[in-house]
Amino acid sequence: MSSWFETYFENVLSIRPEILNSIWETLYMLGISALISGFLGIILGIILVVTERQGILENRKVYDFLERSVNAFRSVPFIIMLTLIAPFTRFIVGTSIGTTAAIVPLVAGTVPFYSRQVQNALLEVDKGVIEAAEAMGSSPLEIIFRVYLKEGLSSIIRVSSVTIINLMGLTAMAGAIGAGGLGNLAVARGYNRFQSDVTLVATIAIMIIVLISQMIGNFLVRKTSH
Amino acid sequence: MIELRNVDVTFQDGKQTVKAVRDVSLKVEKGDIYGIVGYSGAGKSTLVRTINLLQRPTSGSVIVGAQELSALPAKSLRTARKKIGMIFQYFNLMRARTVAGNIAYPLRKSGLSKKEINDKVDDLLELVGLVDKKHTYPSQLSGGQKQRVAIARALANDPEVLLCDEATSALDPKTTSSILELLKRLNKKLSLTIVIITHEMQVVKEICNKVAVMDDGEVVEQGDLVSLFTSPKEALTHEFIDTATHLDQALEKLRKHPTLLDLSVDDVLANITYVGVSTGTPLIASLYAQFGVTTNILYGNVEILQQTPVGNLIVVFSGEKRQREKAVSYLESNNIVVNQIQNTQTIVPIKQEKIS
Repeated sequence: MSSWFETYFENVLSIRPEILNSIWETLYMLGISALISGFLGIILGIILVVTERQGILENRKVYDFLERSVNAFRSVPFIIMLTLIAPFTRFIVGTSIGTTAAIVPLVAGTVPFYSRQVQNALLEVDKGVIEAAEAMGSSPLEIIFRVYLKEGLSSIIRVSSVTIINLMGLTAMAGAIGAGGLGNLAVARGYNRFQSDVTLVATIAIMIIVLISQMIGNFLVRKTSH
Repeated sequence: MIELRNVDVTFQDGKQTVKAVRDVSLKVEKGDIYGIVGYSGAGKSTLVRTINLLQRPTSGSVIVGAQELSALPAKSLRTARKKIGMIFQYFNLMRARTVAGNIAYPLRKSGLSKKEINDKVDDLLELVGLVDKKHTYPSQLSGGQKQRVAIARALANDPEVLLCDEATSALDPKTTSSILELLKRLNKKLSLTIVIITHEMQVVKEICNKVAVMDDGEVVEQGDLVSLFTSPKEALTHEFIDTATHLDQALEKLRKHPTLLDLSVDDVLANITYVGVSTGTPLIASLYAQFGVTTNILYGNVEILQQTPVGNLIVVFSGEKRQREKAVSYLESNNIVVNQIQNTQTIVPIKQEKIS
């Protein structure tokens, strides 16, 4: 068994620490940018829903501004976004290269997508239920926290799990600006140095991470929908 | 208890202006079960939403209890809304909360402790007859049960007013009457003032003591149930009443099968309506005895409205024209409303055949 592995995966064996390090870098980028984008995306998604026409805090100006910004940002290809906001990244992190620096463009690339997803998830909440809450004397904040987020929770989890898979794809691309991680490993070592066994292992590692996050997502959706 | 003064609601949809409610004024007294009836699109849902200001009137004022709601700032309006319960056609329960969670929803920040809230939920469940469903989710309940939960939730803050927006329209007839029974009981027990919006005159007939009929944003007729039912002034009111008493169906049947009538020149088709005491007296028999007019009953129906019997008959009077007129005025002197029904075209040829 081990000799078989040695024959076919010799490059992998020789760089074991590097592979482990790449997995860690990917999880780090994924985790931190998911947390930040999750937070921002939910806030923006809520603002989009409540300021919409007939929303509980209808406000055309705010809605139009957000709506257009989200569309504009979503239309920028991520690989361009990486270089486009490099000066901004340098301003915030101090450098535009490396794993931590990659978090800035990752967040910038995910937030517009995720806030749109959250908006759609919250729009699934029955308008009648919102009306009933208003009729019971709930304030807008109460409606947001006790109705929208509570009733829309399982939809939000569903779109979050989709977004995380999406984000995983972006972290691989961020490897292009020296962000490290599994994507970088697969391209810089596996592809460029013709070590296809490294590419294969990196791919499998990515698939496993995606699979686990999907399983957690599905489990939570089932737990929260009645 | 509730007073609407010259309420107008206008929607601006692009360049189009839609007047959903036009200059409506009405008064609901404490303890009333007030029905607002009209076809869909008549503006009744918009009107009921002005009572708790879910829909702000374009002009006019809304007074509930001693407060002019339309003049309150947002925060006091929310406090006032807690004393106005509302139920809806599609129940509008929260799917992510259990029955108990739904009922307890409006009780947060009410100053009650956790235990007091729990006791209150138990009391309300008892009141609506759903004690065993406390921990189930709405998706597992039937329509009638959902509406009971919605009623319990609407009553959580001990409101004085309950607004019902087509509350029984999504329910089958049997469930409808059990919900109406419940509303009637709540009206008596808690001296709850109830406003009911519906397109079904059946519902109004069963529980309301006062009625307003709406058409195209306007209240065309209003009054207490019995007098509206027995002497409606507007054609639309007539139409609604005929549906409720099934008179329209009976007439339709007669029109489709003219042979049922087989009228001759001395026959006349009429609808007679009588109220209360006169229901007991055998007037039909005395028509023959006094005027020699025979009365053939084609259709009959008796409704009990607010403990008052109201009868409706479709009859054919046969006899000489003068005698018939005497008979009709005799009936009218006994407080019976007689309406001649115009024969339709389909019957005419048969009559002509007979004459020739």
